[in-house]
Amino acid sequence: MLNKAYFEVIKKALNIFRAFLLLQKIDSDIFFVGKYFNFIKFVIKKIMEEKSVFEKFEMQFDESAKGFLKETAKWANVLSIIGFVGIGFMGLAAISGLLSSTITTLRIGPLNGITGKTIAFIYIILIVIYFFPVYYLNKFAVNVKKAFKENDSSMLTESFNYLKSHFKYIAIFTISFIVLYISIIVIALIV
Amino acid sequence: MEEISAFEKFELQLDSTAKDFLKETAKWAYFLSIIGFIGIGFLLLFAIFAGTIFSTMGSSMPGMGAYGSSFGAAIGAVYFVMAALYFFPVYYLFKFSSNAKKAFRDNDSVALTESFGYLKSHYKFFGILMIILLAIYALFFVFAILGGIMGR
Repeated sequence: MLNKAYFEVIKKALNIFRAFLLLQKIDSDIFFVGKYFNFIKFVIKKIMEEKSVFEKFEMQFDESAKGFLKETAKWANVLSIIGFVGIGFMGLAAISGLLSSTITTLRIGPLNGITGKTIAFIYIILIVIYFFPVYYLNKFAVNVKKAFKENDSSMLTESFNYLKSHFKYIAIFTISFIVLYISIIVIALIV
Repeated sequence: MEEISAFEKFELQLDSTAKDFLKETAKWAYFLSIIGFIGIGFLLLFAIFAGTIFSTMGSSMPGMGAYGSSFGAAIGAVYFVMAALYFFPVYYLFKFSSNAKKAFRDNDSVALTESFGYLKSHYKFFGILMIILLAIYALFFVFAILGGIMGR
């Protein structure tokens, strides 16, 4: 404990010394207020970086993590746009199903008796199901991009909220499908 | 120090709300990856036994004669390829979630960075797969149109 306290004092002293040295190096316009504040910021940042890397008192969100997150956002954006286009196509299918409802009835084996309206209905359900994960993914990607552009931590928090929603939705959906499958199997065994 | 960084915003911070969200994301992603591994297991099981299943169906069920053991082998190969394709995103998702969990448990920055790396790989894999599939679809369209024109 004593050791650590000593270490703290020495490190602080070193940091102050380093700041002093840096101050000496900076040219005469240091006295302009803006530059001075920038310098203070820079020193605080340096001290913080050193401290947290060394002592690891809290998790750091380092540069390479930021790079990874940016690339994640890029791909997530591509995927979400493809998803929206896919949903658009399903919308077209639903509309054409609705329009053709008066004319066609499929007469192919097990699909006998299915009208355009039924197909449109199935597509609308699919659209509703698919919309949410794609929307959450898009919001995640857009928020991460904004967070990096505007250096805004609250945007980053928002983006993680959407990422969480995305995974939660898919997971809950998966659970309900597994339950559905199991109940179908159980019912098939009983009946 | 936290106050300073929140006030001056000279760098992006992961605040405690963001951490909570990330923790929950990791929880759900972990669950999904486990389900994914189980699904891949089923795919592999089916790939291995497809030959036997189809050959017995071909010999015992009327009207299934066309689907003999060679058909079963082809189906088995298709399922094997599917299992191989699904393995990577599921593996990346698993690595993302286990690393994120580890990062929060041990307060480990390296694990956090690792986890973002795997999340990136997960989305990159899906993105590239999607682009390849769309390209194949586009090719189908082109060849269908060409075939239609030439077939006249």
